[in-house]
Amino acid sequence: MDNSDSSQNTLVSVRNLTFSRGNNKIFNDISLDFERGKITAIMGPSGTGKTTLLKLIGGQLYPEKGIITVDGENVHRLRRKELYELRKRMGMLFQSGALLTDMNVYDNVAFPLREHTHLTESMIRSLVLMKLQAVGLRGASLLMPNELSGGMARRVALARAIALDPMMILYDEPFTGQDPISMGVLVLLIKALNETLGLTSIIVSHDVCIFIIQPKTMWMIYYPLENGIEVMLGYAIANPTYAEQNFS
Amino acid sequence: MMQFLQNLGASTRTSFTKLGRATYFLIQTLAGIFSILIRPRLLMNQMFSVGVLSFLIITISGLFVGMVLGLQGFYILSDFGAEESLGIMVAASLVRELGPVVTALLFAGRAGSALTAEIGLMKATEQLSGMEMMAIDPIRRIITPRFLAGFLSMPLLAALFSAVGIIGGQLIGTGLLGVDDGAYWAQMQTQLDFYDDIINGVIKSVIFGFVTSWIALFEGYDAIPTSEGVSRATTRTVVNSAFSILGLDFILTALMFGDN
Ligand SMILES: Nc1ncnc2c1ncn2[C@@H]1O[C@H](COP(=O)(O)OP(=O)(O)OP(=O)(O)O)[C@@H](O)[C@H]1O
Ligand SMILES: [Mg+2]
Repeated sequence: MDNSDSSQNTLVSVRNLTFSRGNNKIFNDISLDFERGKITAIMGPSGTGKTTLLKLIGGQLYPEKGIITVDGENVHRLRRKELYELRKRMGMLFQSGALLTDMNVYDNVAFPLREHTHLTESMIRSLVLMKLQAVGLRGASLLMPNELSGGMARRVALARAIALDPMMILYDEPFTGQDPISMGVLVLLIKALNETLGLTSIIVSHDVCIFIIQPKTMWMIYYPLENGIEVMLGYAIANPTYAEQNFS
Repeated sequence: MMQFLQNLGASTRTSFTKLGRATYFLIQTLAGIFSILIRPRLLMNQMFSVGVLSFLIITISGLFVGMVLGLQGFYILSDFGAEESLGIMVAASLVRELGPVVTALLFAGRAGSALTAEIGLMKATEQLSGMEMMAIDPIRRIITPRFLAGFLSMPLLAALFSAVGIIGGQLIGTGLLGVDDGAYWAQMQTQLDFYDDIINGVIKSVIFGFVTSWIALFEGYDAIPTSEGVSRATTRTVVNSAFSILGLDFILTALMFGDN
């Protein structure tokens, strides 16, 4: 009973995950959950494996041990086609933006729509402009990626990540390089996506801004040992009012 | 001694795993061909940047190589009083050997290195991972069209090279050195064999196109995703392509023209 209830509410679950890069053990038998329809934050010092965790969830890296399920499906057991179907329902915002440099902002946002849907060009146009508007970059649609600042590029990447209306978005450091205004735009957008569309959001960030979003849960990744060999993960702040008291 | 053996073993193993990765990569690339046939636009764009943009270098090089052949051929042939055979000499050298080989070498330097750098940088800037996360297979979307474009452009470029070279030889031979114009073309027409010369030349350039595109794309895809890694991969593309082209040319020539 308890079990089925928790799987209802858990969109992503990580169980006994162990992962190494060479001799460097990045995760040692960690388990954590991400709730459906909620915002979960992951914090931790640079180089502890936050990006790595997102890539494991997205099925780009394979764990040595352990199981990661997304929406009830074991990510690393799926066939290639099933994995791609699952990824259509996940958006990922890369730390670097990862925009395609040979096309302009408009085509970048239109790219997943053109690849995965059969919408007419006019429908794609209105969708793309809507998503760009949402990140406050409608006016930049004709710029090439090399003409964007780092912060702008990341917002375009966000517009692209939400183009297919995914059920979940993995944000890797969305706030770095944003000025206070665009940071505000992003915070409101992430919250709005979560509240109005019920999107599950996993946000990696070490910006205090994360507290304004009031994540439901927060996971800390940190090195418990001075020499930093073993990585522990799983210190949760399950009380959202904590953030409110301190930061609003 | 032990150390030496260990190093030898390790480097052999690395080369073999790399060969394995390259083969797997090729299989995946070829598996994407069908999906390109449905979307010929992707191929067209790549044919343009891989093929059409190599036109100039191929034309100019072809012209000069043809002119040099005209000069050298004339001096040798005139010793035997066989200047009339200049046409067939120029044409056969170009169609059988120089066309496919020099085109492939130029192609590796011009288009191959560009492909490696492009793919390597796409990897370094996470564009390929980004595509994977958007559920778009980067091999199908990015690699296969470039592979096909390289593979299809090569015979066309080699034909262009040979054609321009033959004109270059004629410019020098008949224009400058006074070989009879009619003899230049007539000898070529009667002596050059369609299967033995032309088809074999085309087969060579198809094989070179396959190998060079494979090397260039794989080196980019397998590059260490840093500026240094990409620069090394680009160098490896040019070096490995040159070795493969020249080595394969020897083997193919031995197989094709060996029994004459
Ligand atoms: N491709 C790679 N090869 C080898 N080691 C890697 C690779 N990528 C990351 N690492 C190592 O894995 C560890 C975790 O990297 P990761 O990128 O996940 O850190 P992060 O928590 O996202 O840091 P940041 O906050 O700086 O983005 C680092 O110690 C890094 O040295
Ligand atoms: Mg990171």
